[in-house]
Amino acid sequence: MLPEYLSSAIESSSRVIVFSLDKNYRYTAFSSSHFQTMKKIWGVEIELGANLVEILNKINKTDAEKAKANFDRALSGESFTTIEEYGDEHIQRIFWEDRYDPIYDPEKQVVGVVVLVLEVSDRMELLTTVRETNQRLSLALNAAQIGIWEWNMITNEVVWSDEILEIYSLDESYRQLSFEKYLTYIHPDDLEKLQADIATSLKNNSQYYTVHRVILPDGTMRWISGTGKVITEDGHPVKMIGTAVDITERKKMEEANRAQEQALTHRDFMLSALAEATSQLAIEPDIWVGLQKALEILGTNTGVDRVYVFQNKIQPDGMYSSIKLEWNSGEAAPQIANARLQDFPFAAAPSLYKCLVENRAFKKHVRDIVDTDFREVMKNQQIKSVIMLPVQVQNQFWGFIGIDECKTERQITEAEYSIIKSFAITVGALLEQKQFERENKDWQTRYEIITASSGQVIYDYDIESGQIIWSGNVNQVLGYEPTEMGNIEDWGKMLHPEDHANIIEKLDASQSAGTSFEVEYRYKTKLGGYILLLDRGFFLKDENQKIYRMLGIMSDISKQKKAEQDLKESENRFRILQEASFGGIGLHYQGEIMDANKGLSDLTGYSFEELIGMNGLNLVAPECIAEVKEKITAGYDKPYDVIGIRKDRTRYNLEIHGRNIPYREKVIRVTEFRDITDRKQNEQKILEQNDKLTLIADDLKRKNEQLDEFTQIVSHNLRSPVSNIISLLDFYEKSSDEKEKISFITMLREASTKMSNSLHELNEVLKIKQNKDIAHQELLFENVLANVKQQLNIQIADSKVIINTDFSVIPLISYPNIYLESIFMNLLSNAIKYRSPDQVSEISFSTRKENEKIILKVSDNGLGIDLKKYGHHVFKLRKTFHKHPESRGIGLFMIKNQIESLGGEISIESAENLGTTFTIKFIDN
Amino acid sequence: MPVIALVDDDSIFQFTATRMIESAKLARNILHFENGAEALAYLKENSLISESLPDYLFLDINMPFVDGWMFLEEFTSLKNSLAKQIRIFMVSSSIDPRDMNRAREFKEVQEFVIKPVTIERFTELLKSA
Repeated sequence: MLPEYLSSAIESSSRVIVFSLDKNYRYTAFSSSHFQTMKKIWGVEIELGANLVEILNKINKTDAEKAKANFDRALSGESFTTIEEYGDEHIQRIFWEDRYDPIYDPEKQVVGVVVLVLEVSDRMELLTTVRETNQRLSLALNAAQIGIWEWNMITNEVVWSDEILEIYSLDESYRQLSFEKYLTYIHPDDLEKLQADIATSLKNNSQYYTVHRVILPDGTMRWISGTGKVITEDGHPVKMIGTAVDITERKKMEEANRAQEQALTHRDFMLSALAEATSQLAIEPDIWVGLQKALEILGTNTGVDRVYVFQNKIQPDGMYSSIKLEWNSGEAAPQIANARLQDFPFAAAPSLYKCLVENRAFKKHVRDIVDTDFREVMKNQQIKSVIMLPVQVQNQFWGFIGIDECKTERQITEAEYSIIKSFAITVGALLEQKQFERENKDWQTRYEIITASSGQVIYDYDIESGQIIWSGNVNQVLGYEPTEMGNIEDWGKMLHPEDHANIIEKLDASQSAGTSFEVEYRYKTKLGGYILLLDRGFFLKDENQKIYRMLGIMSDISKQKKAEQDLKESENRFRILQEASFGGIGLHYQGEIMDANKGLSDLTGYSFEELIGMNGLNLVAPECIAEVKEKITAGYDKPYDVIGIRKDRTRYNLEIHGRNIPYREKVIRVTEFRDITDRKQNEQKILEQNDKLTLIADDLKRKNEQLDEFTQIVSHNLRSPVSNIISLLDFYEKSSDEKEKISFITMLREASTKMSNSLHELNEVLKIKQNKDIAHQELLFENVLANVKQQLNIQIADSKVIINTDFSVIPLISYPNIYLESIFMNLLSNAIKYRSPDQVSEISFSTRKENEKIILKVSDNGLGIDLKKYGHHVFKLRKTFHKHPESRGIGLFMIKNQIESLGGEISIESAENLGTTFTIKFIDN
Repeated sequence: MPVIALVDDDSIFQFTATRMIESAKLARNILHFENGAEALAYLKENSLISESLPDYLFLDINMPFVDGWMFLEEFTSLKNSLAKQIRIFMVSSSIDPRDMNRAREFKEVQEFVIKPVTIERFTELLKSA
């Protein structure tokens, strides 16, 4: 039990809770505050001897176990403090700071535990708040990419937050490093100031702000804005905490802005310099004086050491350039008198020449110049950097403007460059203008010289006032001074009276039409005689299309006229010559005859006068005109034949040979005409001879073929029975049997009959061949066929063939009756013989005309023959192609001979089982 | 003794030739054909029967329907399918050298024989062959 004073002391502090337990967790004592608290947080009323663990077990097993563990720990002899939450979650849970101490008995045996309890809920809440605030801050810092670092001065370690690592793109290994190491990252230029700031901050216990650069391990540079603050303990600095923000991008932008602003200012400055320099150029009447002033303005304003102008000079061995003007800052030696720059060859500076001639700037530090000579020249002038810009005059490389920098190597800015370039262009334009002015003046001079020397008078006549301005050389041509020439009326008075009316009329007509004119007239000179003037001119119209001025040129053509006369005579001589030549010659322009010789008159019957102006196409027959036109248009220059037509409308064979020749700015055509009737006639004769020869050759060929046929006939048809007769006679002689002998005689007779028949047929054929002049009769196909049908009456009736005829187109022929009869007989009987057994047989006969020949066509729907197999035999003697009892193989052979003997032809078309068509071509006499 | 074929439209030649061959006892059997077509038909029909096929064939040129030349054209493509090699004598009354030259172009033709053919000639031909 606690002594009374202690108990009352405990009871007096409501905040202090005390209770004690025995080894079995039973209450041995508790303060009233504990009783109250237990009621408050657990809703139980405790009493002495009650088991606390059991009580808690009924309410919250977790709390019970936690408490039991602490009790056991104390019961094992340990003293300790915990902060833990306890309470029925339905009622209230509170943070408690508990102090556990074991209770010993006099034998130093643990007999219980005493627990001193303080409520610490307020403190815990504060802690939670701080933790949350820290978290929020950290989030904010992260979002703003503000890094935090902490320098522990005692351990001399710097710890960087995630953000700093991120800003620096560093990995985890950099999170903790020594302060000295940290300082190695600071840009050397900023290190001193940063160290001073930190020192001051430490000394004064104050906060510092800094903007400095860091160089990261990978070599990149970043701008950091940061702050640092000292933390003290007991008045001694122990830590320094700071922030760091990456402001690299912002810095970059600021810098860019500043550079741009500077550039703009500089540009303005330069522009005004350019304006001033240009105005100097424009004001100064002498361009060189102006240019000198301009160079000074340019030099002063750009702060360079030298500005100068070089002009090119072309010499036989290449392009040179000479210094013309120089402005000098005074800090570099003047070069205007430098002998090397007087005629400096571009050959010594090819890199410069290439740049300038291509109209590009040459911008270099002298040490970078590749051309050795050129580099040395520049070095000798102490030049460090140079820019040279081409000056172009009329698109030609005229020279260049250069700027030297002698103090330091300097990069010319874009702004400066564009200003200088503008200046160079302005100089070029100005020089061009000056050159034009001078050239213009030159032209005027040249023009004067030309008009004076050519003897052409130029005049300008103002129609309204009648005033005429005459060129100065008028006195050389007409003898009058320009002032003596007077106005339009004075001019009129000097015209030759015979020409006056005519010329005035012509000029009036030209004026009212507004066209140019070209007139010739005689004009009275000051000496009193007349000269022949060629006056060419035109009219000018004002904005209202009203003619107000007449400009013209007069020239003395008296001499020219004489030359023309000479020419005419020479032309005459030429004409005599060409007329002596054979054939006709005509000159024409687009068909119209301009000139012709006598030959052409003789050839065509037209007189020379009739020919001139006549359309040349009238000399050829109408059907040839298209061809001739085409040849003229195409400029055809080889001879070709047409039909010519004479004045008396007679026709003749004409060879034309034309050729285009240029004549007085036109292309005219010289054409030679040649009568080739004789030649044509000869050609015709040759052609006829040829035809005859062809006919003879054909005839010979046919005769040869017939001869072949005879050989065949003799070989086979005659020799065959002869050989049989020989054999049989041999048999007969050797035989003794009378009966047998009689049979041999029978066979001998058979063979001899066959031979006789063959001879007879051969004779027939020979007759046909010889009988070329057989009499022709006017025959009607219809009648001849009717006669044949009559003869074949029985066969036609038996076979029931249908015979169609169509002789309507060509009903008549002049032909030997027996031949035509033979043709019809053979073809009709063949068609009947070889009719198809499977169908009604039809045989058609028709005639028509083709190429001056009468065609007879005979077709049937009979058996037909395979021409591929038997075609070569069809018209041969004794050839049969059917196993037909009546096949003798004579008919077609005969009619072929008959037809061919009179110049005709027979051909066959056939297909097995489809039918046969014979086509006979007769020569119609 | 061989089998002999006579291909000719000339009945007198058929008669005289047969008589001569028989009297000289030159053939076991004589086959008669009036033209090339009949002969070809027979050869085709008996192409595999060796004893029916002729050993010698006397062929006329001038025949109706299928003549000697046409027979030869077709025989050229037919001969390899025949069970027996047939020797051909071209027999003609023709003394035209063009016919002889043409016959020479066919290697199947053993000889060109000009009519009339005597018994001695037949004996000579068949013995030499």
